[in-house]
Amino acid sequence: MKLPPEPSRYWNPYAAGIALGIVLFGALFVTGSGLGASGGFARVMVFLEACVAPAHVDRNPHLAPMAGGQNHPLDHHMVWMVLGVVLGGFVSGLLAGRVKLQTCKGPRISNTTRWALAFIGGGLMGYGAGMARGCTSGQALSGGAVLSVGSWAFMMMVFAGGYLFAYPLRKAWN
Amino acid sequence: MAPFTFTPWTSAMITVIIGFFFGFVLERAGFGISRNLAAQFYFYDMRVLKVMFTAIVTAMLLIFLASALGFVDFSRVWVPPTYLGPAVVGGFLLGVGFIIGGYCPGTSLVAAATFKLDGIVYVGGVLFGLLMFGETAPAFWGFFNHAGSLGRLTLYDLLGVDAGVVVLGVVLMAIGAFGFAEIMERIFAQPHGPGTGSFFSPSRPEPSIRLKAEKCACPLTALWVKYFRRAAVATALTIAVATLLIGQPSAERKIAWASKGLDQSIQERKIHIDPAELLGLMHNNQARLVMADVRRPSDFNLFHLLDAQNVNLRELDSGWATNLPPAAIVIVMSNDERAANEAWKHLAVQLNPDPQLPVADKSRVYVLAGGVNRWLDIYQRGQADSPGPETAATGDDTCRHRFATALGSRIACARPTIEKAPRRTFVAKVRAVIPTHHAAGGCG
Repeated sequence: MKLPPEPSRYWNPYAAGIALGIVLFGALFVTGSGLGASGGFARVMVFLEACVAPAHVDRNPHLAPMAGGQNHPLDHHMVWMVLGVVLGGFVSGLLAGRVKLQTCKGPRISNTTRWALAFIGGGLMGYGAGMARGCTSGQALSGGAVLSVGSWAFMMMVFAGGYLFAYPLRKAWN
Repeated sequence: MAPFTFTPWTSAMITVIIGFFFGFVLERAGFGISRNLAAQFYFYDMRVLKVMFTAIVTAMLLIFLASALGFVDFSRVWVPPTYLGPAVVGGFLLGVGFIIGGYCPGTSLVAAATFKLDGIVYVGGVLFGLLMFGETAPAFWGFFNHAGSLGRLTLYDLLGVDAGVVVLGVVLMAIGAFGFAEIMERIFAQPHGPGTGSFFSPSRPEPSIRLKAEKCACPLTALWVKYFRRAAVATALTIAVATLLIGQPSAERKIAWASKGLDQSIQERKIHIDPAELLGLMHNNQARLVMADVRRPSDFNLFHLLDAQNVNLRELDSGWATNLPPAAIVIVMSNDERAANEAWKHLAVQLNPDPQLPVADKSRVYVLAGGVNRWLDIYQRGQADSPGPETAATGDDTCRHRFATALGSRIACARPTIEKAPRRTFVAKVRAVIPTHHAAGGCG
C-alpha cells in the first residue's frame, strides 16, 4: 500500500525522549520542581467550583487549601504550565501542519462512541490523578526522574491498568 | 547553587516557557493523537514507553550528575512525597482511563490545542473527574492522607545505597525495556499502521506517520538512527557510572562547598539568637519551633529544654531534616556553642535557600547563643545580665551546671513562664520563612 506524503513526520521517539528529558531537567534545575498538568487542571476546576459555590469549597478539606477564603486557586505555577503546554502544542502542530479539526480514533467506532469513551476515560484519569496527587507528567515523569518511591509504584500501576483493559477495548483502537 | 528562587512574575514566565517546550515536544513526539498513545497497549507502536523512559533516564542522569558535581542542591529539588496507597489505586485508575480515553492530562492539552475533538472532550472529562474527586475525597480522607504515607522517600533511601547505584540500575532497566519494545513492535507490527479518522469521513484510515515507514524510505536515516542509538546508550552508561563513582555529596562535601558563607554567618553572629528570643518562640503557638539538642545523651538526660529533641550529627545528616514541617524554625543548642555551630552547618546546607551566601534574614536554622549553660545562668540562677548573642560562648562545651538527679525537662527552667522569667532586651533575628513549595507540590 503506497501512502501519500505526510505533512510532517514525528521525531524519533528516543530523540523526542531526550528532548523531553532535557526540558524536564531544565525545570528541575531552574525552578526545583518538575513538569505537571493535572495540578493546573485541578486548580481551574476548583476556580470554576468556587465561582459557583464558594461556601461549599470553604467546607471541603481537599478544596479549601486551594480556593477557600482568600486563596486564589489560579495563583499557582501549574496553571501557568498548562498555558505553556497549550501554546507549545499549538505552535508545534501549526508548524507541522497537524492543526486540524478531527477526531482521532480507531477505524471501527463512530465519532460519538469515541467522544463518549474520551469523556469516560478522561473522568477516570481525572479521578485517578486527584487520588495519586499527580498524573503521568507530575508523578510518573517528574517523580520518576527524581526516583521517588511513590512515583515508581504509580507508574507501574498505570501500565498495569492500561494493559489489563487493553484487550476488552481492542475494538476501540484497532 | 540551583535551583533558584524567583519573584512570582519571573517564576510564572519561566513556567510558561518550560510548559511551552513541554507541549512542543509532546506534540513532536506524536502525543497529540490518541491512537499513537493507545498503540502502546497493543505493542505495535511503543512510542509512549520509549519517550517516557528516555525522558526519565535523561533527566535523572543530568540531575544526579549535577548534584554529584555540586551544581544543584538535590535536597531542594521537589520529590513527590510517597503516599503508597493512593498512588497504587490512583495509578491503576489512571491506567484504565488511559486505555479508554487515549490521552493523559498533559497530552490531552496538546490534542485540544491542535483541534482534536476527542482531546477537547477528554479535557472536559478530566475536569469532571477532578470535580468528582474533590467532592468525594473527604469520604476517604484517612486513606488519601495516611495510607502508606512515607514522606519524601527515594528509591536509594529505601535501599540504603548511593543514588548512583539506582541511577545505573534504571539505565540498565531502560535499555532492557527498549530492547523489549523493539522486539514487540516487530512481532505485533500492523500492515496498515495507525491512522486517524478525519472529522468528516470517520471510517477512512489516515495515512501512517510511523517511524518504520520512514526508515524504509530512507536508508541514510536508518543508519543514522543506529549510530545515534549506540552513542546514546554509551553516553547514558558513562554518565551513570561517573555519577556512581563521584557519589552524591556527603554533608562534609556540601559544607566544604559552602564554607565561606557558613563561616561568615557564624563569625558575624548572624544566626545566634538570645535565650530570651527562644523563650518567646517557645511560648508562641504560631511558630513551628523545632529544638535540636546536640549534646551527649547523658547531658540531655540531666537537663534539657522542654520539647527539645536529642540528635547527633549522624542523625542530622541522614534524613532528620528531610521531613520537617515546611515552615519549621530549627534552633540548635549544645552546652556552649562549639558543637551547636558545627551542627548548624550540617543543617544549614540542607535547609537554607543559599548556604553559599552569608545568611540574610532567610535562615531556617539558628543557634542558641551561649548554649544551655547561658540559658541556665539566666533562667535557673536569675542572672538576667548575662551577655547577649553578640558575645560568643568560648567554653569547652561541657555542662557547668550540676544537677543532683537527671531531671530532663521536669524542672521549671526547662520552659520558664514568661511572667516570672528575668526580663532581657534583645534584637529578634528569627524570621518566619515562607516555604518554597506548597504541600501539594508540583501536581495534584
